[in-house]
Amino acid sequence: MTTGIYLDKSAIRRFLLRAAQSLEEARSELSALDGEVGDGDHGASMADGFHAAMRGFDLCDSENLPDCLRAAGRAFLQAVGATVGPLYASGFLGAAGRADPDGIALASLISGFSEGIAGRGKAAPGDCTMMDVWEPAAHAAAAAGVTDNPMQEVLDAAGAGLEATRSMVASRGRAARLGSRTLGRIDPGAQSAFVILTSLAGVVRETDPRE
Amino acid sequence: MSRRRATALPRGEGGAAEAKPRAPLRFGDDPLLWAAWLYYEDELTQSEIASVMGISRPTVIAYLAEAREQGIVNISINGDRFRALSLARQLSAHFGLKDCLVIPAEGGTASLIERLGRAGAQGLGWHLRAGDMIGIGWGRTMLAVAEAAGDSGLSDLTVMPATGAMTADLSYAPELCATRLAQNLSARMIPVSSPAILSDPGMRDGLLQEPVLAAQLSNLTRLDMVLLGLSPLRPGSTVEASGFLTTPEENRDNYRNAVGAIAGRFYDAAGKTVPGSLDGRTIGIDLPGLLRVPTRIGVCGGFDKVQAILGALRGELVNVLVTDSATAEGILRADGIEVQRQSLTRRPPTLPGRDRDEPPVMAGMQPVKKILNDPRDAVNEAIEGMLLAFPQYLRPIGGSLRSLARAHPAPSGKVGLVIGGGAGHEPMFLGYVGPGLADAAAIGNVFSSPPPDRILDCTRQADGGAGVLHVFGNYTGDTMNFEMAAEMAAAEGIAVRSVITTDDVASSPASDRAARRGTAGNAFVFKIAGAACDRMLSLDECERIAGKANAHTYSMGAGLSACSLPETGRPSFLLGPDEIELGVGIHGEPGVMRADLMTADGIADRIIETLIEDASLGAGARIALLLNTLGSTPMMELAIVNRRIHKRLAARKIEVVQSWLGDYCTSLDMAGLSVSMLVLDEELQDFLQHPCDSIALTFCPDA
Repeated sequence: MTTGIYLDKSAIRRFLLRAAQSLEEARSELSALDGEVGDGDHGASMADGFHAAMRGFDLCDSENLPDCLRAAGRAFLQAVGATVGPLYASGFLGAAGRADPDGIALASLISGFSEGIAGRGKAAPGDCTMMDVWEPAAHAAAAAGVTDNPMQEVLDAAGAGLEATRSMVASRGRAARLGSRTLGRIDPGAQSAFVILTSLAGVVRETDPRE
Repeated sequence: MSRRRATALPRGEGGAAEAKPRAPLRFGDDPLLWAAWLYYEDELTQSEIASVMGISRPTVIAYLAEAREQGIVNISINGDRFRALSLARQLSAHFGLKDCLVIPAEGGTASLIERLGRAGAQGLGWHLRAGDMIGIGWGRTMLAVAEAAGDSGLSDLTVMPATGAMTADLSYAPELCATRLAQNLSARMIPVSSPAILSDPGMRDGLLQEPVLAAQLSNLTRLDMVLLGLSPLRPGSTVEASGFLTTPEENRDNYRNAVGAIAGRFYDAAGKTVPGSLDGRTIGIDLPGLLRVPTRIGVCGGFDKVQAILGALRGELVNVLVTDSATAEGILRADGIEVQRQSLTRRPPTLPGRDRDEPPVMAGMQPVKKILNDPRDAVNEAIEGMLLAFPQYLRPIGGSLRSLARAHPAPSGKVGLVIGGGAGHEPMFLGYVGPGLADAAAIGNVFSSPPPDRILDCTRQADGGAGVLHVFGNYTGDTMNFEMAAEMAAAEGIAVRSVITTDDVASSPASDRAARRGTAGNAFVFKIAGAACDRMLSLDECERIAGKANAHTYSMGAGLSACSLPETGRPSFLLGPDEIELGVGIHGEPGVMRADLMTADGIADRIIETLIEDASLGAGARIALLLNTLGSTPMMELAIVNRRIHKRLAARKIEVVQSWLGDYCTSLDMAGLSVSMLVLDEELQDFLQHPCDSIALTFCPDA
């Protein structure tokens, strides 16, 4: 029985590296987005956070993937604090909870992050947050099953969620008090979530055993 | 009151001249200016002006026309009304609407729903013809429209609800809205004798066969116009409150792509029907049926409705829109339209960074001069400096500059009080650590929550065996980091309770108190909580009293200029030279409303009236008052505002038991102030007068 795409520990390591690099490239763009609606530190927090997470993953004593994901989350949190620290730390914990000792299914990875973040932040799609990307992505990953190109479906759903944040009024985070001033703007947390999923898609493309 | 009120501007050039008496010197040799002055300021008639100036009346008329043309005279329409008018025009053009009415977002004492109701009734009256059949949806706004509708004098009108009936305890159910509208229009009413939602599809199909109901529903295909409310699909929205969606799962699973609901039918961002489990159980007009009604009047306002309205406009589910200017602007921006901001008075636009294609760097966004070394070291260097100045109050926990404890340990058996939050608010939070106040404070980066491990260090330090109380402001980051720290402390066997401060009245309405942010009113809550802990009360009691202090605290800020972060060195938003932002937060966030700059008394009045109303204070109430600078506004200006506020409170017979004035919770270098009040009862007053000693707050009652 096929279970769709499965990522081993080294694929996860490549994912963390690629996400950290992509977020570093997007650092100033994300901070500029955040400056319009929040306090302007989102790019720095996300880039620094994923670098720290990757280091935490590498330095983990255990060979066991769930342990390493937990270590990555802890490292992210200690490096960043703020708002994204607890959220992504919980995302890593969520993924750890669904991982096997030597790997994790793609859909489990995405839904683990999504559920972990949602459980901590208690935001739902429509709140104009990163959940507008994570939740549709997790849903698409689960629904895509064993289709040819699940990551394309994930990215399509995530991209639609990202674009939809333009028409939303933030009800969470510091942007919430801006009311209608968030309209027409992409939510920075949704944007960075999309960057992360794009990095994951890159890793999946390289790893797909069918190619 | 003048019939014609306009402003005459001086100008450089002279105009055409005739033989005439010389103008008074102040007009130079400009006959246009002179004529305009006599007409608009002195209010002479054109004939009177002709005789004063020694010219013919047609020449006067020509001068006045020329004066307007050259911009010597500007005729201005009230800014809010002009803006509303221009937004309505843009909405009509962009979405191809039949008609659009935009009302000013701010409008005196009536609530937005009441004012939308009146505007909706006006829109209805404009399109109504004798013999029309009118459908109406349901919801608070629909009820307001129905109540505001007046007798049109038109004959043979018929009103019917667009859906079946709802639970009897819903005051704005479809049948009630329709009945009220029919009464007020003196129209005949056709009921829909069935519930809107049936428990199973078989029941619905059966009912639709019933001749009585079938005849009633057939009228839905003959509607000339329909009045509709638009409900967003958010928790607490009308469509949820009505019990339409019986379970949250029903919402999530069936309607994941829906952005709004009209008459109980769900649609997506493009305004297309989102099919779902309710369709087979709903009795009422569906979206294809709706599209066949010639005039579809949507009445809807509020930021949270933008997504729902946008979907309805894209799908043409409404072709007449009645909304308010803030929402209208939001809709246009959300659809990528640059909102035109020109005005007849030709004042240059002052709102920065509004358009997403334009970088938010404005001419005025110049770097602000600051006294800094490496900006990334600012927080640590500042704390080092504070520790050197105030060794009698503070010491680092385990060498950390970001976890600070009181210099002299508290007696054991006392409930520990831990506070914390981002830096940039000095003297908050570290200024409230000391006897009678907090035992420890965790400090994050500028405007950023501290991570849980620092809060945990503070919690361990503050624990004297009786548990620890966490008090912090209501921000997403702080809430999560404190929550995680509390979980970690609990795992170590330390009992932790949390009180989250929510004093900023501008950040959320009174009905949603828990969503408010914590600002300078923190000082009151720290004071009361510190006193309760210092009196060796139990953790339960300390939590109760701190929670009560928070529930009794109300704050509002006014900003004159934004703050700038050490790392960017630029202001986070720009205010025009003659503007003030009301309801500002303490992180450089813009406020909730921009207004023309007022006098100190004007600012005082605006704030204190809002606070008194929000707290429902009557004669005989007792309060503690706090006037706080946001950073760069001097004590002198605070004192001027304080004077007026005391005067207004005295007139309302509200007693000020304590009056605090100074820097309690700043926002870096922001200019402006905030006013907080703590409404006292015996218990809170007693705790307020308990002694305390810290950098920011020292109180010795009998000294």
